Amino acid sequence: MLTSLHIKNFRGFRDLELEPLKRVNLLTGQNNTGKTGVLEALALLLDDQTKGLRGNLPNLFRTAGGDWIETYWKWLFFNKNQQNNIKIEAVLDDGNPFGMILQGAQAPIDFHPEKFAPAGDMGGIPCFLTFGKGHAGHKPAIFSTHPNNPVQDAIDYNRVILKRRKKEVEGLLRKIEPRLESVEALQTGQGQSSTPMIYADLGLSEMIPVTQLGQGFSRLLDIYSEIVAADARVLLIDEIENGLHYSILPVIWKGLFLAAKEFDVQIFATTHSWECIMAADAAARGGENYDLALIRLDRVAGDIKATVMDDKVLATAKELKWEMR
Amino acid sequence: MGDAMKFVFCEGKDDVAVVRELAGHLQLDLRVEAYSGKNNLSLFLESLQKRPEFAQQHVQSMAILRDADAGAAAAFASVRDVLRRHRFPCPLADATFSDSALRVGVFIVGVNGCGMIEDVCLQSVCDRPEFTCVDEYFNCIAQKSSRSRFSPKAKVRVWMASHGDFEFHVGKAAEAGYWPWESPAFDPLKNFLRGL
Repeated sequence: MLTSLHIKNFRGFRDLELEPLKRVNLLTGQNNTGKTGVLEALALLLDDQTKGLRGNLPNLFRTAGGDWIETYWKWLFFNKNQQNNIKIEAVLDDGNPFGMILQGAQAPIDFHPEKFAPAGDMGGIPCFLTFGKGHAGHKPAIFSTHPNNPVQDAIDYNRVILKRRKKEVEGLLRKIEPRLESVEALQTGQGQSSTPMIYADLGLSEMIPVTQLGQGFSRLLDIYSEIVAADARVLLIDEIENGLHYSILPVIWKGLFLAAKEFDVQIFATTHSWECIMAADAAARGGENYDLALIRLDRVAGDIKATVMDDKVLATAKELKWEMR
Repeated sequence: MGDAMKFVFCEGKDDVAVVRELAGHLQLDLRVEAYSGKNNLSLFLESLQKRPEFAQQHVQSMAILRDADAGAAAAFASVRDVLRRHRFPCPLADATFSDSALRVGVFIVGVNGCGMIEDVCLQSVCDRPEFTCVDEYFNCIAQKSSRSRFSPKAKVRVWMASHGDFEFHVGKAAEAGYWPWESPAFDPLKNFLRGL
C-alpha cells in the first residue's frame, strides 16, 4: 500500500505532497485543481507496461484529440515547461520509496541508460526513468467516466466466476438492484457476432444485458470484479459517485471498504459529492481502523496544495456543518 | 468565495447570537461561529486549518472569544497556548491582534476580569431603575434560603422574565433586540470587533 505520494512538475502541480495515504483516499476540490491529474500521476507511476497505460494516458480519463504531442503530452509538464523533469515518487508501507522520472525533450540525460523505457510509446518526446525498488506489483486498474467496454467487463466477470466469488459480487449488487437474482457472463449469437456479455437476471421473461441497466450498476460490477478477481492492487476511480443514487452510497462504501481490506486493494477516487464523502466516512468508522483520507486540492497563490483530512477533522466538520469540499 | 474574510469564533450559541447582532448593529461584515466550548478549542483549531477558507488563504483575520470565568489572565493564557500548539499567530495581550499575515485576535469576555457574556449583557441594563428589583429578588432568596450564590445566567433569566415576551437566553434576547448596544458595557467588545 502506498503511504505517501510526491508529484513534481506534473500538469498543474509544481510540488504536491499527499501524506498520509490510507486504504481509501477520496480526492476532492474545486474544478481544475487536479483531482484527475493525481489519478493520471498514479497511472504513470504504477503502470508496469503490461497494461499499456502510459501509452494510452491521454485517453485514460480524458478524451484527447488532434496532435497528442501538442495538445496533451507537452501539457503534462508543469507550465508546459519541459526543461523541468516530471518526478512522481511514492513510499510503500514497508518504507521503501520508488518512483519515476519523465524527462522533457531538452532535459539532460544523466541516468543509467539501461533504466530507460522505450520512448516510442510516449510519442518520442519524453522518456522514462525509474528508481527505487519498484512498486512491487501494485498494478493499477482504471475506472474513468467513459462508458465501459462490455466485452472486457465480461472477461473480468468470468474471473469472478472462476474464483468462486460470484455470489459475493451478486450480493453487493443486490444492494442497488433488489430484483437481482443472478449475474451471468454469456456468449450469445453465432460466428463473429458472438461476443461475451454480462447479463442480469431480474426475474423478467429474459435476462437483460447489464449495458441496458443504469451506469451505476455496470460501473459497480466492474469495480467489484476488479477488486475480487483481478490482479490490480490500486484502483483509480474518477468521479466514483457517478450514476449512483445518494441513498445507496453508505452500502456501497461499506462493501468497498470490506472488499478492499480483504483483497488488499488501495483505492484512489475523485468526488464532488459531500454525501459520498460522508458515506465513506461512516463506512470507515465501522471498520477496525479508520482507513480513509479525504484529500482536498486547493489552489493557493497560483499553486496547488493538498489538505489531508482524518477522522477527527471530518467529525468536527460534520458536527459544525463545515463545507470541506 | 471572496477574499478578505473575517471570522469570529465564540464559545457557544449564545455568544454567537450576541456577537452576530452586535456586528450587525455596527455594520461589520463578520462570520460568527461557535467552537462548542473551551474544551473543544484545540480540536476546533486543528480542524480549522483544513477548512477551504483557511487552506486557500482567503481569511484576513480571525478572533477567538472566550469567557473570562474566574480570571481573564488565565483564560487568555489558555487560548494563547492552544493557538501556539496549532501554529496559529498569537496576540501578545487580551483584546489585541497579532502582527501577521493572518491577523489573530483574542478577546476575553467578562466584566472586571471575570465572568461571561451574561455579565456584559446584565451590565448594559443594570443602571435601569427596575433592575434593582432583580437584585432585591435574589437578596430575598438569599435571606430566606441557604442559597447565596447566583449565576449571571439566573439573573438574565429573571430580568428577561420581567418582560412580556421574554426570552431566557442572552442570545435569544439579543436577537429579540433587548440589549442596548449603545451601552458602555459593550464598548470593549465593540472596539475589538471594529479592529478585526
